[in-house]
Amino acid sequence: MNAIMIKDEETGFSIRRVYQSSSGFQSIEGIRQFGKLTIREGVIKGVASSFLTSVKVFDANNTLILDLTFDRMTGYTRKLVLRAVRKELIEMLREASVLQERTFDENEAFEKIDKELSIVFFGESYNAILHWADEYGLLNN
Amino acid sequence: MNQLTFNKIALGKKLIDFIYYEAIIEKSENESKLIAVNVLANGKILTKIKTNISLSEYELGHLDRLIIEIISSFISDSENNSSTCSKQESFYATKPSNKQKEARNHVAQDLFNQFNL
Repeated sequence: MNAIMIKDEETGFSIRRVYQSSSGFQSIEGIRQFGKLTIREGVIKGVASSFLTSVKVFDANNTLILDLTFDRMTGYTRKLVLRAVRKELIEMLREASVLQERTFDENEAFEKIDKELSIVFFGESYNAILHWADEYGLLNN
Repeated sequence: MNQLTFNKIALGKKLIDFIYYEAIIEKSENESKLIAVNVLANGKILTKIKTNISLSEYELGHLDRLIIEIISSFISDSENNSSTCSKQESFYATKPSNKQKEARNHVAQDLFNQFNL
């Protein structure tokens, strides 16, 4: 049976694991899906502060394909995680293009990956604003 | 140090409808640094975003993209008129094993197909 995932309001990810340290900080591992890929974010939360410690991306077979460790005291923002994942995915495409002896439009890849990742990280905000606009009759259809 | 200004108004380019930007780049013998991005409207500076980004690893063709990222970051992250943006790569990536390299290649192939690249 699958465990029930609790959504973290601040970060928007589903909480996979939580560890409460004696110092009072909470160590949280959150996950979100990006197509077939799973993004796991390591966050340390204190009072009015959240720090990003790691980002790991797994493929559909649960193989670790990106393993990023952040500098100490890196403040958590979704945008920061998005940027890091986007940068590393494009780097991965570059590597693959060399291996496969093919070319690709890097700007196009940047825009398309950015658009999809934005939906993954900020989709709920977009839905909320659309819902709000709909309630006030601001949408045409 | 020389200070160069790439003025997008002069180049006839703009960011969105009425917003323009210019990049202030300092060149020394060893490296070029993007030290500020000015956001302009009607020829006047709306805001100056101070940066300290080495351009050595960026191709000039990607400078536009970098600047747009800085401006987006400024808009979304700051409520002040002036902000200091540092390079966002405050992390290091663990070198992948051979098995992971193979998986990365497959994932890249999927992304090429998914996004028609």
